[in-house]
Amino acid sequence: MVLERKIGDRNILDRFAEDFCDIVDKHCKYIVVSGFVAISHGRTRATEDIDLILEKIDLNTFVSLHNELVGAGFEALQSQHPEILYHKYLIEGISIRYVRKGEMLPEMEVKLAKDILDDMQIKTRVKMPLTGLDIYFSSIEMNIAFKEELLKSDKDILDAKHLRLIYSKEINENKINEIKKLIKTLRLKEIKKND
Amino acid sequence: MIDESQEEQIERWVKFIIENPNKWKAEHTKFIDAQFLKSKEFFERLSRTKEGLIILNKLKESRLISK
Repeated sequence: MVLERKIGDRNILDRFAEDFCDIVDKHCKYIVVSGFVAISHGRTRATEDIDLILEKIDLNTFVSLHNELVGAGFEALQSQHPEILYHKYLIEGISIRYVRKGEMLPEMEVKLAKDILDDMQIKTRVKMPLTGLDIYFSSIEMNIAFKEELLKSDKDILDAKHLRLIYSKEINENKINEIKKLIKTLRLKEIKKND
Repeated sequence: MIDESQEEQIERWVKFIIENPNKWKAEHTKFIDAQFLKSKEFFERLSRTKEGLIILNKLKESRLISK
């Protein structure tokens, strides 16, 4: 299937994601996950943020990444100090939100990989030619599995349906089921434990 | 709760994407950009009012938006 896109077709989210990810790519591995995956495949719905997972990085790597982002005109909403952002947020599993300085939207919601499922998402990351974007995404099977098994809101279920229709011939259903089993083991048990 | 019409909308739109590889992206870009432009326009209008400035400052103080 060919979903043609030209450079001039870039929307605000596309430009924001590419500018941000170009910088992240110089410092560590990352993946874009969830809603923006569906939107960049043509899903028509609103979002105010893009979800990005970084591989587990140390403080020094984060400081140089953060400083380059700031130099390129991005800023973190929670703090200007990378040490605080790293220890108080990333290490605690709380997302950092970046915007272009002086703008309110969109936001890049950044967090660190937290378990082997995230590690696996990063290990199997892909660029998706159909999106026309030069950024890494977690695989379609991963996105569908997370949306159908863990997230499950109406918008997530409809995102998954959209991706299933776009990739109807390519999707590996066995892979989706395997990922769903892992989600049940690693994430849903954790949620139940915390209830 | 997802109703049938939402699922049908997805099916119609994906059909349009597949059948119109040269057209869909421009439509999609207009749709996505419109959300951000409307939001920006709203906050600009808000910032031109006295009460709006107070609201914006509160948002900024709470670090919910960029300073």
